[in-house]
Amino acid sequence: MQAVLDPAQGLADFDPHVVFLTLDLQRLLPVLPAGLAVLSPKDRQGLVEEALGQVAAWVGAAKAATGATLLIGNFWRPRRPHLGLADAKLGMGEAELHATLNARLLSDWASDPQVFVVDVDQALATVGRRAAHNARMAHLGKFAWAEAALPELAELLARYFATLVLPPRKCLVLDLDNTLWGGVLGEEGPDGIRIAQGDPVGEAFRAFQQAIKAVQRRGFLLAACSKNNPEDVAEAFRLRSDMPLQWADFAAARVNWEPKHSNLAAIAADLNIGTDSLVFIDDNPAECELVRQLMPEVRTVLLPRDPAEYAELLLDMPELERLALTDEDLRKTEQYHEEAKREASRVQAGDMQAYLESLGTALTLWPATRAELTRVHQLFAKTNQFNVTTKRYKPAELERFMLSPDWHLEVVAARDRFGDLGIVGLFLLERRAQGVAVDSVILSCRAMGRGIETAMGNRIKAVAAAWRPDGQLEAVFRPTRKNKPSADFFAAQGFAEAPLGDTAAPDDRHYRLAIGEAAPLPVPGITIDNGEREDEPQAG
Amino acid sequence: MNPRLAELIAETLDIPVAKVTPELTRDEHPAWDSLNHLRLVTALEEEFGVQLSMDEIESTTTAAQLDALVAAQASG
Repeated sequence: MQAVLDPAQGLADFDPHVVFLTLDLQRLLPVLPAGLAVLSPKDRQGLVEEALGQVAAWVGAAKAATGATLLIGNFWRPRRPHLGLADAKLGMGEAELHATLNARLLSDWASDPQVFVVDVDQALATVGRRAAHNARMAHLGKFAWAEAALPELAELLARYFATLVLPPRKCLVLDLDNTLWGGVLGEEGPDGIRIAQGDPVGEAFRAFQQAIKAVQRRGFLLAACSKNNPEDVAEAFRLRSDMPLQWADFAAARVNWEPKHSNLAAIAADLNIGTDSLVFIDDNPAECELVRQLMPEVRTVLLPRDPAEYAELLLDMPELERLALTDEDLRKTEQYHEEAKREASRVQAGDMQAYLESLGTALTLWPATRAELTRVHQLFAKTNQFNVTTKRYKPAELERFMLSPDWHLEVVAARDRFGDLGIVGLFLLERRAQGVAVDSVILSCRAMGRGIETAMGNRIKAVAAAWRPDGQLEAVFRPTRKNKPSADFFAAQGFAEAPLGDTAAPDDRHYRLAIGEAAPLPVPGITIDNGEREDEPQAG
Repeated sequence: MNPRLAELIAETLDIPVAKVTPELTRDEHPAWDSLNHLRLVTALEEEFGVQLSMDEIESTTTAAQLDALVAAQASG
């Protein structure tokens, strides 16, 4: 706390990725514990605001000093309130105060993408409140958590760190027999597999399916990969509409007798994602071992023998975490099905041009605001293929771009006759003394190759013309292992390749375009709504 | 000096066990800070099944004193 509030202590110099604040209510509210009983009910209510005000002051100071992600550990309840049983009858006694504060912490910070409330209280309860508290260390070291509590707390924090830092997994690939249901479909038939309510084993599999459904809602795609007759599987899903998971929940499937590793590669190709984005779950040790050896980049999980353990195993997996959900996450599977219909329509149309026009794509572009921050951050963090510089900005940095007059961060949302794709892309420009620099251009892989690239290119030129009509547009393509799909973007938009600057990385390719000569390119079949916005960048 | 205690001190302070002598002093060794002191106490209490009082923990400043505290409780 001191280090954050005192500028001399150098939090800014240290420039951390993550700052973790632990809260101790007794130190935040010195009136506790005994004073609570003699306060008026109104004053006890006031303690809530007092404590939350201190947390908010700390968060404000930390934000001013650093762009780090802020983790706030919530208030952990003492094992026994100081007023004992009577605490429950006090009206905002010690226990209620903790519960109220923790609920308020959640609602106060729910919409801030830089701040996360960490459920320390729950972690300590998981260890057991008696074992988790060490009074001697609290007095000696001002550190009240017992050693026994540290692994659970460390696991919880590591979950945040991993989700913040590691490239996210995107798809959960599931075996069917003895994974989604008990028994072997080919032998027992659709009525013999165990997935019914009332059957304890069936209910364990139902709990697993429900957990999978929740993971899907976090924004993961589901895929089925199983050795079965495809007709049997189609029939099972048709007849067992009582299952929590339905066939439409799967964005891709390979039901055949091919080896699983080639099916995993095919599923990744179907979904236009890398095999390193897959999590594969199977009950068969041999299948798991095969995939581990041949595709080490896939996160392979062997299920335990007892299906009662399946659901919790899934909920414990850090690879399936998201820090927050966006509208795009909630609709992800639907969007992939719409994509499949587009694909079918493309095959039918044959001619690419006719296909694009038949989609009836309508785009809306607008300067990003805080309302879009979570999605914008997600695009920066997760997009690998159409991403010209692959810069991974933190939410606080993105917020600064949104507010700065010298930066322009614009998002593009798309819809077509098959559905709403949501926000699929963005670009980030910097106004410089002599011209305008293209810092980032990002387009979700779901929206690639249908002219949205050019629509964004046209907007980049228009914004640049408003800022520096006589200047140069400068751009860099920085190759990575995955971003080849965006390699030709600048050339396609009429930029010319230019010599590298001094500060460039050796593989960078530098592009330049005189803004005065930058003409918009045609975008056939796409209608664009960017209106005459008040927040259009001003010339200057 | 109890050889297992010397090992615990060496592990906690991240120094070679040969450097752990009875004369090793908290004030003189930079790694023996207050946090490592508490880690060391926690580790030796678990290892030897003893419990030091808060005063003993606070006032102990040398390896020899720790050795004496462990010896007194472990044998008594």
